[in-house]
Parts: sequence; C-alpha cells; structure tokens
Amino acid sequence: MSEETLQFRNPEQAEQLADRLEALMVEVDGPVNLMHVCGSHEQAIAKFGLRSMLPDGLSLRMGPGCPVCVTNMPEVDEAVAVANQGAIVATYGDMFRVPGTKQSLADARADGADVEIVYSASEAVELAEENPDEEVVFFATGFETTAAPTAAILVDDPPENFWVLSAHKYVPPAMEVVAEMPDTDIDGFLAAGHAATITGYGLFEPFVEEYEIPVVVGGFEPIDVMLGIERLLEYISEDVAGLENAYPRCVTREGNRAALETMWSVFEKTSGEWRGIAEIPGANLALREEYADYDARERFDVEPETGGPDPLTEQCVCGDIMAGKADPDECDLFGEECTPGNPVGACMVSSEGTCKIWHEYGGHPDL
Amino acid sequence: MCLGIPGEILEIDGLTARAEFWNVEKEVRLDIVGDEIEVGDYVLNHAGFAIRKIPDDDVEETIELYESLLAGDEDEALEEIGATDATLEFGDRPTAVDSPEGTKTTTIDGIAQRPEAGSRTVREEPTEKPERDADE
Repeated sequence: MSEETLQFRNPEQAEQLADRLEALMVEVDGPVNLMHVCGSHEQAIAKFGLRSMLPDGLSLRMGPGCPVCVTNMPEVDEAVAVANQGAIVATYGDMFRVPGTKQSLADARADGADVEIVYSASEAVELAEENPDEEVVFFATGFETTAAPTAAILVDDPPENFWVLSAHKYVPPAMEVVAEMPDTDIDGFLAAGHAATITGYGLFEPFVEEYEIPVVVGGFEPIDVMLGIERLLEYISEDVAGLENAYPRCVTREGNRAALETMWSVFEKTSGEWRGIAEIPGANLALREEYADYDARERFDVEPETGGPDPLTEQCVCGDIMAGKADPDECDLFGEECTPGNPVGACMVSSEGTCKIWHEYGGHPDL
Repeated sequence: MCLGIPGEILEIDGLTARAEFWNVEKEVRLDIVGDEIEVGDYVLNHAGFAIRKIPDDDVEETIELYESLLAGDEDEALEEIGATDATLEFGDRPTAVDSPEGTKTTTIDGIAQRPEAGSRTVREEPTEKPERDADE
C-alpha cells in the first residue's frame, strides 16, 4: 500500500476530525441525520469503525446506495426468464445469488441454465464472441459507474448474438425521493465519489437549491469519509445548504465528459420501481430506440412468471434499510434466518449491502 | 460492483491496457477514460473500465490540504493552495444567498468564498508538512 493511501488512514487525523465533529455538534445543538448513498461508503464506515467516532446525536445512515439491493425482484425474474429460455446470461457476481420472486440466477444455474459471472461488460461481449452459435445476454446492473461501461461496449459494435438486459439505475432522482420522505428527515447527503467521477458534482446544484439540503461528495478512505461528514456538519451548523467536493483527487464539477456522452447516447431515463423506495421517475436507465437490436427485452419473452410472496421475504426489512428508515439489527431475520450463506434479501447478498457489511463486522458497528 | 481502484498502466494496445492494481495485473478498457493515457499513468478502474486518469499531484495536494485544514485554519489553507486546479475544486465554495423564506441557499460560482463561519479555533503556528518524494 502506498504512503499516500496510508495517509488517508491516519488515526490521528481521524481523531482530530472527530474532535471537530464534537465541537460542531455543540454549535448545532440538536440531533443531525446524515445519509450516504454508496455501498463503498458503508464498507469504509463499518470496516474502520467510523460510527464509533461520531458524537452523540449524529447519525449516519445508508440510503439507496447499493445497486444490487435496489434492483427489484421482477428485474431478477426477467434475467432468470431469459436464462430459462436457453440464452447464456452473463452477470456481475454480486447479482448471482440475489433472490427473484421464484429463483435467483444461481438457482436457475443449479437447474441447468447457463449463467456466467463476469467482471466487466467487455467480458460479456467476449463470451458472445467465443460462443457465436449461442445467444448471450448481459444482465447489466449498477449505477452510473457501470452504466457508462455498458454503453461503451454497445457503441463499440458488439456481435449480433449479444444483448443487454438493462437494470441500470441513476442515483440523483432517488435522492430526491428520499429527501421528500417525511419520516427520514435527512439533514445532509454524503454523495458517492465514484458516481460523481462520472457525472460531476455540478449535477447536485439543482438538488441543493430545491431541497435546501447540503451535499458533499466524499471519497472512500476513512479520512475522506470523516472529512465529508465534517464538511456537511459545518454547513448544517451554519444553516447553509452548500455543495462541496471533498474528493478532488477524483471528482471535478463537470465530471467525465467522454463517459457521460457515451452513457447518454445509449441510455435514456425511464421511470422505475426501486426495491423498498418507490416508483421513481427518471431513475432507471433503458436502452434508447437506436439500440433496440441489442435490447434483450425486444428479443426475449421477459414477462416473468412471478412466484407467490415468500413469507420470509415479507419479513425482510431491506426496503426500509434502503430508505434509511431501519437498521439491519432491527430485522428479526438478521443473523438468524438471514445470513450471507443463506440470504433472504438482497441487502445480505451484495458486498455493498448494509446487512452483509454489518454481519461481516459483527452486528451493529457502533458496538 | 462499484468499488473503484487506482492502478498503474503498464502497456497499452488501442483501447485496451494492462494495469497493475496492488501487485495484481488486470486488463482495463480505456473507452471512456476521457483523457490521453500513457504508460505510467494512474487510472481509477471500475468494473474493468478506466473512468478517470488520476494526476499524481492531486493525491499529494489533497493530503496537504487535509493537513492545513486540520491545523485549524481553513481559510489560510485554501489561500495557501488555492492556486492549483485540484484544490480550487475543493475550494469551490458556495456563496450564500438569502432565499425568500429567509433560509440560506447557495449557488456555486467557482469563487472561493464561504459564508460567515461559526466560532472556530484558529491557530497561528504554521503547519509542518511531511517530506515526500515527488515520484511517489
């Protein structure tokens, strides 16, 4: 690990930042609810025990920041339906075991369907090139950081036996929905540094103005996260809805123009159901008409046969966790019927899921 | 799926490159990196695609900014290193404007300005910066 990386894990600096947070909380003189919207932030927070460094009255919740977790069960059902029709389905590893209403892709593979795990969109294309007599469908999931790569392979003229089943999601509209939820009461957002690397942080200007909630873009090392929280608290203590980039080594105001142009040339925003949040206008990314030839929904029958509700799924509070209304240890299933080895909900499947992260680090990270 | 990792470019073949991530070599695509990439550059990698070239200077300057910030005088820190692109990004301070409701909202105008801060301890002593090799 480089010296630079270690610098971002300097416990003395983290302590100093924690002291500043204490002082700012005295100025604020009341409870503060912050929300981050990225699984990688939750990873850093849990791994380095950052919540234990936060002053009393300052809560930091995870919002809808895990793309696997907000993928709706019927979207998994669509991928399973395609696999069961004989196509090779290529998927990122963290979607493999996410339950649909009837089956996960892992279940479908156990029953004989051909499901392959890939690490990048270009690997899915290679799979199609290596199997010219097969139909290959890339189950494309994730936020802007993976939507741009999916777009890149589609503009690069992939083979005719290749299709994309897009379940890509776009974060900013979901933040608006959460900001409007009366029972979440968020005072500030820590925005995801890598999504903002693509989109630029200028994207949040209208949000900050309309909702009068400060937004700070943060990185993923412990000091980055603590600094992001400190900046947010500074704005809250001054009653200012500010926008700031606390991750300048990756993020600019404009973002990555090449990636954005590619992404919007292939995708358009559509309304979509996010697990546990709501039907969100403009928060799903669908292939544009120009790319209909590569759209798996045009080629395959994706009207999924949904199964009846699983009684355990009914008890799973993953949706409330995604909306920042509940913590994993408030779920009766957590660590009992629902474990990483036998997950009930998506939050326990993905490496970015709050339940899995909390489980990995021994329950409630504050303890 | 969303974990971005910085890696060093070892060789380039068109839009495909080999990069080293913490002693592991991987193939990475350059389709959407949005910058001219050369061998020796650092890129941020996401699911097999480089999404940004990371200037070495940015890392170093960010660390220096943190140190100045933590020494307690933010304005001095911004002034001190506000002349570089990377830190100007950080120094993009919203300008508070009064909205009709009386709540302060902001517009960004790229000028390093901030609203009147609350009480903050200001220390006068200069910050010592650790020495660092330029090529790190």
